[in-house]
Amino acid sequence: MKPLIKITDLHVSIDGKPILNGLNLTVNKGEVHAIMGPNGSGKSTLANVLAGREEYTIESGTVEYEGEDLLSMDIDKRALAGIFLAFQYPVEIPGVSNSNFLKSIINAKRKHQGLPELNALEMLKFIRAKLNAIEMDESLLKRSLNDGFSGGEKKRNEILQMTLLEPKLAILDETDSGLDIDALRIVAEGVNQLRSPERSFIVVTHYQRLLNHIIPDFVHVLSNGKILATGDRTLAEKLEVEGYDWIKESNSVTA
Amino acid sequence: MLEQEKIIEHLDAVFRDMESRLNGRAGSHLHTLHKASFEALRSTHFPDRKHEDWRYTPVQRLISPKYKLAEKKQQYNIAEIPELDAFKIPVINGHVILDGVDAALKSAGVIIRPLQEAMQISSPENISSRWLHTVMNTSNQAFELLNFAFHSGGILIEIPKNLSLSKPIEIQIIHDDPEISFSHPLYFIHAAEGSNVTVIERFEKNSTSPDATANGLINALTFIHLEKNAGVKHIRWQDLPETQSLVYKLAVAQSRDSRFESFAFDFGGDLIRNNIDVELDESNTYTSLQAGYLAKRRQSFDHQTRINHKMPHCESHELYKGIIDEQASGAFNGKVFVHPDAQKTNAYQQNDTLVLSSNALMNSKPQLEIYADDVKCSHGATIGQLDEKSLFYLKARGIDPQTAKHILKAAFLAEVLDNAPVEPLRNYIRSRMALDA
Ligand SMILES: Nc1ncnc2c1ncn2[C@@H]1O[C@H](COP(=O)(O)OP(=O)(O)OP(=O)(O)O)[C@@H](O)[C@H]1O
Ligand SMILES: [Mg+2]
Repeated sequence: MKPLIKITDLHVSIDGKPILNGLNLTVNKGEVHAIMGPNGSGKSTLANVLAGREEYTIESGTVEYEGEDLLSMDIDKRALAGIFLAFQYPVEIPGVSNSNFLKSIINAKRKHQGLPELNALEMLKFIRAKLNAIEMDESLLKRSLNDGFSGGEKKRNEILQMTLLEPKLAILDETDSGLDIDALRIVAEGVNQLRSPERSFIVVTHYQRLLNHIIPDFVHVLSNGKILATGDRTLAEKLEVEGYDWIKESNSVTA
Repeated sequence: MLEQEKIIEHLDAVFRDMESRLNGRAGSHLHTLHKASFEALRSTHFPDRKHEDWRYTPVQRLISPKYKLAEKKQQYNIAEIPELDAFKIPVINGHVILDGVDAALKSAGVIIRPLQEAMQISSPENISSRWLHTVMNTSNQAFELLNFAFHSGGILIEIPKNLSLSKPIEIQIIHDDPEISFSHPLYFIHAAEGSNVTVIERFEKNSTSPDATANGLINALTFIHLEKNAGVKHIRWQDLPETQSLVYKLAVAQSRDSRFESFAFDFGGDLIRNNIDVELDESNTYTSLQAGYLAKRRQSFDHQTRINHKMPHCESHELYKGIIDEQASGAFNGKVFVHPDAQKTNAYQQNDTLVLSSNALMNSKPQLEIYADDVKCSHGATIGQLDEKSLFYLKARGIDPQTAKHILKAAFLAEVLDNAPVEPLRNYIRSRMALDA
């Protein structure tokens, strides 16, 4: 089977400072990969580079997405091709109403698929259904995009966008941090409902807790810009108890 | 010969041509005023860039074309604003089309008089007539004198005491002439004690001949007088053809307890000079001036405001937000004077600009002169670009870069637009902005 995304020996720097140092990762269709790792190890960098953030410099390496060179694709084209990044820190944009924003992104996708735009009523029904599924407060639609949203509201708004866009590869960057226990369960349900043999997830998290709800096929440890260990869900449990030090040590042994 | 002399010589010929067509109306009140104003203009130099208030306006580009007076014209067509129910007053090439004035205005109680008639009312208690004379005899500004010398009539709109007009008045201003020409719209709005009115001034293209190619200059003057406890909301929307320029002056005088709010939205045209002058003649007034503008190509938008706090307990707000792109330039100069008697003044001013190209230019200059001690005054100016993180966020959701930029530009101007009255007009302005993407 052809992988959905294949990252090979990726080196990325910012302002001359190396952040990813030869990262390899392959995700097949239908798989859920969790990425854990210490603060500053490069998890968000990886997520942002896949989404196309331009301030990073790709020093070397390749990323193939559905057989295409992802790194040469424009940001919006990546999204239209099915890549979705749930941001660790969603941006607040005053003056853009959340509902208009959601309409724009739905219609951008439909246009790309050659479908007609939804009319106001269809749009409202569509958004409302997804909104209710994740128990999100409808009043958040009328507000400016993420503007003054609480941490949890922002994360829920990210998940709402994910369920509206139904991406092929969803990258969740610490979507669980800042969520209360109920919200965590709801968000996880949102993800689980989307799980399908055609859809893959990269879930960045610090907590094994999330992985009790979203059961990963693989758990990777990212440290110093490299994947140092890969295992199944039991790896996350071990990390929860023992921390990262043992991996760093074993790495220094193999290096 | 000096450039100024050449210009006056040309205007002299235009003036004589105008007089030759007066047939019989020579010697009228207005003609006397025309003549006196033209004489005053002769000895008044047009400002140049050495003049502090005109440093950022390319005045030469404004005044050097050999304008003739735009011809009177009855045929016009200005696109309707969807869902807007307003009392319309059409002004074509500087002529108020009296037949076209919405008859319902009269039944609603509003009095519209040609200036010629309004100035001749001699009863001493007629405040507005006296007001017209005072205004027209005291001006010494070149563009005002130019208007007073060449205007083709003008009107006085009187909102009687305690009348709250249910619908806005929409003054539609069009300049449409195949030759290089100028026109000089002139109106006076008198809001009597306790009255309330919303006035829209809409500068747009004639939709039957939208692609005007000859240079045109609209030199418009609007005077608004708010009597005690009157409320006036004013919105100026401008989307002129690229070949036309606008010199606009709004002079406001406020009496006790009155409230004045003005919004200006500039999108089209070539050179736009917006002057707003507010005299706070009595105490406890409220004034708000706001503007949103988007300049591109080689457009030049210059906003000059002056708020004169003469009496205590008055409050004024200014919020000017602009986007300057391509080779365009913008200027904001906000003067606020607080006289020694104007204790307990609150005056706030803010000018925020996005400069989107390395060839675009913005000059922002607050100018607060405060001679009273118990006041609250503040001003601020920011200049920035579109936020990269926000752009990335939008694009990462599949929105194309062009649309993403447009969304952020609209969001920037939304702060002002969302404050403006008259929802159908707001929607109309939004939809016109969408065409810019
Ligand atoms: N714009 C930037 N300028 C300079 N350094 C940066 C920038 N963005 C990221 N970095 C650095 O790159 C390194 C990796 O950051 P990244 O955000 O990818 O870490 P992370 O693994 O997501 O950490 P966390 O778990 O705290 O979210 C950090 O040292 C960070 O300071
Ligand atoms: Mg991170």
